[in-house]
Amino acid sequence: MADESWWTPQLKSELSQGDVLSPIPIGSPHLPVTYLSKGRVEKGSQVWLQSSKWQPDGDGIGLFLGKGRVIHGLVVSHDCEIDKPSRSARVLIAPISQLDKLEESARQPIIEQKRYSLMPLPGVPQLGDYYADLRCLMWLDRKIVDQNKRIASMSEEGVLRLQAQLIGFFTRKSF
Amino acid sequence: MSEFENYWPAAWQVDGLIVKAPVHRPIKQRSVKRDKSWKVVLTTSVLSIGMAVLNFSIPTGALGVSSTRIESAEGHRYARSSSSEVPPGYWPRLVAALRSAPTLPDDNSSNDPEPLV
Repeated sequence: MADESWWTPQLKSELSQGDVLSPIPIGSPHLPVTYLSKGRVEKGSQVWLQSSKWQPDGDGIGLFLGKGRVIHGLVVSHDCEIDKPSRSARVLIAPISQLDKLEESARQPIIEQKRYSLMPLPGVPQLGDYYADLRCLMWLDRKIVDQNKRIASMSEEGVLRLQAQLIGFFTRKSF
Repeated sequence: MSEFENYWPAAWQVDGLIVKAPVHRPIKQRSVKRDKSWKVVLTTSVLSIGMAVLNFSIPTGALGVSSTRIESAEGHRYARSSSSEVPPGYWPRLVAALRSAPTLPDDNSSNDPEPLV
């Protein structure tokens, strides 16, 4: 596998599918599911109180406790979904981590590209050999993504490989 | 008939699921009437030329008349050319490709690492 073919020499001009982001909060609702409500303590400080009752705002949006990591992420959304930033723009992200942190028995099948859900990311600029965990795909508000630094952009070949991984992961079909 | 029937996977339409006004229908009516009377022909021709002028030459905002017909035509053109629109036949072709593609055996996940989050 030629490392240089996976990444562009320089960042693409705009946020793109296959971009690697600096550590960003990625997670899901805490278990057991815990709702939050606004509260105040002395001197008017704002606090979030645990609540047994779901208390959304007028739009049906509310707060709940989340858990996760602040971890590097891979942009999975297609360019066409993220090329027009708007108030409601969402970006699909997969968390990525170092291959070296895994035991040999877990690392080797990923490097050999035998796993649908775990995509190897060899030679990520500034980071090294990583893998993306598609089991933990989630979305982030575009505003949060824009506050983060982009570290690397995938080459055209890399993006095609990512798209192939997504097809394999979601369909398990042989073409 | 359920109003959602068109959204069933088996009922996907070639041109997608957007229901739009048949913008060419008035032209059909004109061609039927043409054989009956030269007056109708003349009137229709004048109207056709007028509509063509409205469509392509005059800013609609300055006319003070309904621009429904013009907007319809513009919307139709946009749907055909926009790269963000799913092209005709895309879903049936994709479904057919998926249906004919063999499903791969499940991979061995026994050694997979714990999910990252």
